[in-house]
Amino acid sequence: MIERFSKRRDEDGFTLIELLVVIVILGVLSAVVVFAVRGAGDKGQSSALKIDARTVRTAEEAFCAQNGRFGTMEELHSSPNAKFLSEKSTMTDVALAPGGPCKGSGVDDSKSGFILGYKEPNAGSPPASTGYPELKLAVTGTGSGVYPTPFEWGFGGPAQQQMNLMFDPLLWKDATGMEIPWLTTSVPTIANGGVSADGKSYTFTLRSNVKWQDSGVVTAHNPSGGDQFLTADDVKFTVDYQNTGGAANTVTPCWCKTALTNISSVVVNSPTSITFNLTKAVNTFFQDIGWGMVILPKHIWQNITTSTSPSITSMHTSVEGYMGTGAYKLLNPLSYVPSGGSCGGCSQYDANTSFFLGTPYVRRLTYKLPGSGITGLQTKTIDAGSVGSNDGITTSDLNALSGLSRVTAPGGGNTVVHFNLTKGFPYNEVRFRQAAAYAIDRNYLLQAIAGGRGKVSSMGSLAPSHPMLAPGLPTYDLGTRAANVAKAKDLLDQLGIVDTNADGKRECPVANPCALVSNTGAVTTSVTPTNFNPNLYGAGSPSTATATAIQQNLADVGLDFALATGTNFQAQNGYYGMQLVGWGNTMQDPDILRVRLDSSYTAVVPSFWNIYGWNNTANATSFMAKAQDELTTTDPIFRKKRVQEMQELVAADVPQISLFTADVWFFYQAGSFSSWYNTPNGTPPGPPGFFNKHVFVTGKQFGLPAGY
Amino acid sequence: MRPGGHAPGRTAGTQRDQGPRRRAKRSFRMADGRRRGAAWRVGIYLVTLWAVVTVVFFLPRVMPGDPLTAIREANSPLNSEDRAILEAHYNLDQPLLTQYGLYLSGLARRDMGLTIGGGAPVGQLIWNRLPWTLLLMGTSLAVSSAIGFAAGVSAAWRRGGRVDRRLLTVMTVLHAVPEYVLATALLLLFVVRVPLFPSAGAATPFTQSYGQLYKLADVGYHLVLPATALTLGLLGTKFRLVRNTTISVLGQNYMVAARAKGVPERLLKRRHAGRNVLLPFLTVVGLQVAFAAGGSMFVETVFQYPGMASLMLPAIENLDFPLMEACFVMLAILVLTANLIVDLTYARLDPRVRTE
Amino acid sequence: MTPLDDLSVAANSSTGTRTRSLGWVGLVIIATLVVLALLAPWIRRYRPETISWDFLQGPSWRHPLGTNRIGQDLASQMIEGARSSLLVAVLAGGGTVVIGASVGLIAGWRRGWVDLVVMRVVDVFLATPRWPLLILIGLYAGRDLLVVAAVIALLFWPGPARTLRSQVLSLRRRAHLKAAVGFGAGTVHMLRRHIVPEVGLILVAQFLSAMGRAIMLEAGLAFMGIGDPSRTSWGSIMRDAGDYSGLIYSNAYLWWMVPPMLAIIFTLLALTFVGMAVEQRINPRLARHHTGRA
Repeated sequence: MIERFSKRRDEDGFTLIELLVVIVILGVLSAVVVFAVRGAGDKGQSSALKIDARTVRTAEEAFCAQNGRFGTMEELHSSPNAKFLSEKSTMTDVALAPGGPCKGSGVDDSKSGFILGYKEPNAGSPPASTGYPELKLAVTGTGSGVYPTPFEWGFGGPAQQQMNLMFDPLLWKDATGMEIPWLTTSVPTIANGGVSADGKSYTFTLRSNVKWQDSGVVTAHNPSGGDQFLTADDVKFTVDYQNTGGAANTVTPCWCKTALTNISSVVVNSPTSITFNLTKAVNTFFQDIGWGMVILPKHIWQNITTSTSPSITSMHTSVEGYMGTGAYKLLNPLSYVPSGGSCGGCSQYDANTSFFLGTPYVRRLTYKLPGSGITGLQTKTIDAGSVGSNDGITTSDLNALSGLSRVTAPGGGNTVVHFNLTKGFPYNEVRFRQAAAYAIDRNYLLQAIAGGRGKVSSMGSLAPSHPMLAPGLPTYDLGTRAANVAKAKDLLDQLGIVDTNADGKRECPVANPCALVSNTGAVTTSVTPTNFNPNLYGAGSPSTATATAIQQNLADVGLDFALATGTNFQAQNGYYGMQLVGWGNTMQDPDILRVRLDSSYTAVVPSFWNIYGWNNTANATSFMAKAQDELTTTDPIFRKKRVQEMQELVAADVPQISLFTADVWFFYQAGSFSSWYNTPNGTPPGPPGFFNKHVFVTGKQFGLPAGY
Repeated sequence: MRPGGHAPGRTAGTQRDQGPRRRAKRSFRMADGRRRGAAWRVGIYLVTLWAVVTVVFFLPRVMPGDPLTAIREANSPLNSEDRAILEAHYNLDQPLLTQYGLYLSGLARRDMGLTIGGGAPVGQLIWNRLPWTLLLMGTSLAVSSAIGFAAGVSAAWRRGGRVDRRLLTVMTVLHAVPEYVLATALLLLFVVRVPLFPSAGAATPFTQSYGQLYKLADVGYHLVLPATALTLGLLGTKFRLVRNTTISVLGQNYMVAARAKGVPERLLKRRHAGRNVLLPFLTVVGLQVAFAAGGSMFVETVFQYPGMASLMLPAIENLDFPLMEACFVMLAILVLTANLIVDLTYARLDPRVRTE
Repeated sequence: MTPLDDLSVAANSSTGTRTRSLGWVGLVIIATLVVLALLAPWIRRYRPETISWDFLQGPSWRHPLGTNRIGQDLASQMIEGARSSLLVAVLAGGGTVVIGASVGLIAGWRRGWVDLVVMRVVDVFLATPRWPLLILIGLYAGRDLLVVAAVIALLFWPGPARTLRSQVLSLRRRAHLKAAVGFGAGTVHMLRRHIVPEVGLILVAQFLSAMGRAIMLEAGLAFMGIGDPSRTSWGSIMRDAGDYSGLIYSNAYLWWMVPPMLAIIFTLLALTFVGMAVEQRINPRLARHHTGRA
């Protein structure tokens, strides 16, 4: 025994052979991986739904030429041009949005807001009487610390979307992109007397059958457990609450700031009639108050009186905080944890059987965390989800996905470079910003970052497919990369930002040192002509890949930017000289121009999408004046003119560079619920997009259920 | 050399302090090899906890950034009046030291405040996440301990043999693979390419209608990949410690003597070798809790497991002081408690105490 | 991988020629990396950050490891990653050992209250979850690679300190050192002539393990997106690949995600091998001393 131990002592450990074994194992592992990949790649070929939209498009084009508008699928089939539709069986549903005029000049789905819905052959939807049992959806975005109650949701996050299931505004939108009556019986217009001729007065008639969800439930504020109906008092209360009451000017999640500040009085005419009087016409009234502001139950919220966020946030620990008039009820509201629990923000909603438009068509909505949208779709964890605008997945890879149907949202997301003009030279210098515009290869970014699905943005900052896009703006693109680079270098030379020490990087003039902005917003200038090496901050959705590409574009003209990761906090407060941001819903009301760029507005309302300090040129001053016209005119043609002029000023001064506007591809399981559409000009700043409660309630793309 | 003379102290490995051994009941060996009583040890842990709390309290507050400006999204300005109200609510208007005092007293009352982001009670949020981290860490520590111990003793017993060499090779390689690489590899292999396991989450949501057994199985199913990644990450260290300690124990005179006396091999393995190996092993398990806590942050991120990482990382990004601090403090308490338990167990098991 | 302080990597496990050969293998791998890193500007065909229109190309003659989504050459990025890893390994590893060894030497030599205080601090550090703390401090202190290296050194010095201290304590008790002190040798002389030479190899072993840990930590931070955004590292390549949602619907991960993973593994393995060889040199010597003393 002793011998055994002592003998063994010297002969353990590794041999070279053992090492080889390790390497072989790693090699075999890699091989296994390769095999797995090969197998998976072949599967993609047999996609059941290789749909070619061209056929429908051609038919639409023909229909458009004859009728001056887009046709429904039925109309296309019955038209003399139905010969185009040889594939009738696979394409049964076309939804149209009047985003742009049909001029017969060709149908471009991104220019016109043309929306195509595809249906699996023979995939019938169940009748309305039984409804659709359950839709499983992905929890989109991150919603850390946000609850789906009024005043608690975050803009654009999952909680905003889900809050809209439980609470309702006065108006809503369907696939047409036009307002439809929701809590009201009609949409006020000048024709029906709901809007005064000067645009300063709006009168809404409420439905009389709208019950709050605490009807029939005994709660602290409904001790009898009787029915609680919506009245005009609730509407007036909500406006007061937003304006002067509980949530006054604090952390109001309501896109209603512009209209709110211009309301002179709210008059309750009767329990079902209410009139808003404005100090001046406000073009964003429907956007702000019509479908941007959900109505609160007065009997519950009137007790939340203190004007502090904490007392409002106490509502998320109360069952009553989740009780609106909405089509859906949150199951287990008190156990709801934002992006928490076992699956990160999962939640489930059941149809409200006493909903004022009848029992919603989709009986249950389940929000799950599927990993990523596409993974969830592929594993059939979710019924529908979208591919984001910065994902850069190649189109061929996407087309290879099997078992999925698709809806496209043109201009779903955009990516923008911001300058903070308050930080001084060189950011406040037009020629510097123009040089950057020439230097950044926006077509490259579109191809690399968005997989080519989308368009290079307009320098006027509105989306390329926006109906109010100004034509013929400067593009800051001379056709070839070499010409653009030369032009940018020339502009920088003019500013005296030249490479003095031949290191390939430009330095700022000694007499006019450049600003370096730290991540606390502090500005330092270099006295000696050292390298101009400022930070390029990235915040929000644009990926590191986008930032790196821009950094390299700028390096081509001798500008040496360092990448830095910015936080929302820095973006919001303008702690940058140059930064990269992105957001969705580029098709919203053109007032976005004023909100983002008018320095008299951005100075008081901090936001990550603000451009700070564009007030140092004649163009900027002119912009601010035109912005007021745009907001208040009642003449739509004059408004469009002003909006286009504003874009021209933006394009001339380049206070920001819109890079590319990407399409969003939305997929759903072929053969499942199929009425999906992207809501044109959705509620700002983003939702509902594809997850419009209208489609859940009606199961259709247009209109309201019969009898409502 | 006396029997048991080679049982290592708290410092595992071979380079140990060979200083004179004092005998004391329930004594602990400190980092310097000194032996101290249980009270001293608990004191050290409390001081450590205080140090961690202090660091995580002051660090974010002396850095630039303000949670109140960071909390809300676009177009929701805070006027100075409301800012003042909110600052008062979160005690941010107080002098730093007062805030510190309030925070400490709050902790003592087990009140960790509200998140600045959503006004949610921090305690509740942590209560929602901590169990998942505990489950992941606990499973991984247990499985890696069992496998590590068994494999280590077996390898040492057949030292130099084929099994030993194979195990040593595999474990050495595992030792060189960081958890996040392991987790990514597992994700690529078993979620993406061969979709055997779920890619995210800790349980299938909304299974109210299913039985308890189903739910349990479901949680286990979601746990497989994250726990495997963390287990493999912890395994290499344990295996090698057990193997090396066993080998050194086997070489001791008392083992040789026991063998010579004809003590049966099994008894020899269990009683003589096993107990001496167990002590340093225990120390390593205790120390590994800290590494498991760190490793699980990575693994949770890769697998979107709803543990502390999913709470802590966004909290850091959003400068949500109360949440961020609470996360660190909870992790610290977790690690310190585990170490304390190990220490106390150690004192009980130490044969030198028993010889008194 | 669990970088346990003081857990000697190969204690008792390896003697003989095999370990030595493995040590050489490790050394060759590391030397190759060093050469690659030093000669990077001459051997790479593209600058690692240069973008191109060749998106997501598979391996080819032009791009041996293919390209990523913005057309960057991944082979050049891998080489750049080696530079980052080695830099942080040397700086953080060196920092850890220098701080740790100095503290350990002083504590072990002076003993008394200095020793007491230092060892209490070490206790606090060893019981703290340093991983999350690294993320927190890293986020606030800055993301520059040098800062990351400094933070790693500041958090992980107690391991080497403890080892060094116990070595010094045991050396002090040796007869010839006691005699030297008795003859009036000064502290500096003692440390330089007697202590440092004795603990030299241990320092090397500690340095190797600290380097491995630093590489792992830096890549991990970069992987989590908390690293230096303007520097390419293996972790940041992994992060970029993971950020790309299309990664798993195509073969791209094979040349984008797998190589940095393998690079991290093989580098850490190489360091382990060298560490084992070094410890094998240490152990017999220690064993001799032990016997001599017993």
